Amino acid sequence: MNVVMTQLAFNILITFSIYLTISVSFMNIYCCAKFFNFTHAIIITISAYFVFTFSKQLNFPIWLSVLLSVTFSIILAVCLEQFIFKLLRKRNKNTFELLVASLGLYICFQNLISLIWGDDTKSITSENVNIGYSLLGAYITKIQVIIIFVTIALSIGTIILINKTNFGRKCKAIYSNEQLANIFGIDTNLIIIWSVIIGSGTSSIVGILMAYDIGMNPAFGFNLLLYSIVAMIIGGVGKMKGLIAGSLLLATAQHLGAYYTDSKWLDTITYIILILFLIWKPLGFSGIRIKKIEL
Amino acid sequence: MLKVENISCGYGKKQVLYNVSVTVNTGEIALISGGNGSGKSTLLKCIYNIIPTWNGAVFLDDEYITGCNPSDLIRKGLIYIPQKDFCFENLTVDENLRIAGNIYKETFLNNRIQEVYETTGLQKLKKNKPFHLSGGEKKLLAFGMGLLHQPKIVLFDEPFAGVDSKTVEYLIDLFLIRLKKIKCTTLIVEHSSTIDNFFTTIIQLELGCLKNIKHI
Repeated sequence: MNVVMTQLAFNILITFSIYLTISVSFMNIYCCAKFFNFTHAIIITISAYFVFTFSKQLNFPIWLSVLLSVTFSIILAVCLEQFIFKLLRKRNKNTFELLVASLGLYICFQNLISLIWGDDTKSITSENVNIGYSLLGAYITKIQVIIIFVTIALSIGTIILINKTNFGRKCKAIYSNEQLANIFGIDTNLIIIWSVIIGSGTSSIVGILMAYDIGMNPAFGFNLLLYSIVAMIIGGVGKMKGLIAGSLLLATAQHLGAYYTDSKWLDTITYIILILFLIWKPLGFSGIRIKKIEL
Repeated sequence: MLKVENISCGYGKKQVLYNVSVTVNTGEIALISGGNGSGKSTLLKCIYNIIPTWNGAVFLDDEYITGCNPSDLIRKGLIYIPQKDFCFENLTVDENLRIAGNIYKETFLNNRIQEVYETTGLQKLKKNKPFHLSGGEKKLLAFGMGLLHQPKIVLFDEPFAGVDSKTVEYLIDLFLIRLKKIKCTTLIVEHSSTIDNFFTTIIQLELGCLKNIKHI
């Protein structure tokens, strides 16, 4: 039983660190751009497919494949922001319209990925499946250890950036009162671009690591993003402690739920928790109300 | 000197200002008065380029500033203090001042913030968020955020709205008298009659048109 619990603990830690990293990066973009941008899921997915193309099809070294992949993913995210969402905001489209546009773009890109690379699950690595390291009776693979360290480092880095730097203060100012931020000379568009760069860079690295661990398919980024958004909502938008609590609660509930019932109930468990929180604790753990959300 | 020439503007397709021309000389304290919907706040927003002008021009000391972005306007000595939502609710008092002065280098900004603290007495509240401040303290913060720039021209949009008469007198002593002494050009949209004695010029708007300008 202890071995089972230890294995569960490792699995929860891996999932928690992934959800935390994606929700922190997503929240930073959301706080500046003020809408749920589903194209973030494309960045998570396409970065993995870029690495697949560069490393397996073009035989580039892994480090170069990852670097190019992250770069191209960031460029894609910035182009979407500059040429589509900025234009829509200039035409005074509301947050719901921006959300629907982002969902439409996500579907287009997902279909494009299916068309180019196919719908089957692919693997970036060609190594044989190995059992991993044994620790306290449970097993954890090398890539899972890397996931934990890299994602926690990225989360801590993003949290420090938002809470301790001038850039983070500007993001919070824009989230609080965009017009006042403009009055005092803050270039909102530039801050949004930088938050997109940082958020996309972070999420693309998570996407690549996840693909190394479990493989990838055209929809895997969307599922990850949805779970991270749920963690963000139940944690409470705008508070890092809330995000940590939300990610931990969700990861724990999913793994325990899968262990005691079946993994096919993962989505059901996730959305039941979300609904319960929306009914009984709509402000999440942290008590910060979500601004202008229409889902 | 601030000069507005034949400004027309509005919100969406609705026109609010119709060919308004106004000149306010250096050191003047001008009241912009008029009924609800006469375009008083719109005029200030248009001068500061918060809403774009449809036609017309704005000049600051004979320099064309129509359409300039706010960071340039601040550097030229023009600042706007809005009527409501005039601080960042999720930032502390200190962070609010730092954001207000974000265009400056840190050392310079620290000095300016210290001056604001000395003037307003907000230092003891620097780690508080606006949610924990009284209405008067919030107004002190708003004034501090604007005057941190030591502007040549200040655009105040109903600076005393929602504030009791005792606090109004305190704010007048603290800020308006100082602005008058340093010959800072001030445009104020205000309904309160408490500060009638301060004005050198009264600009009257009616239904988006200039009705009258009176120099006292």
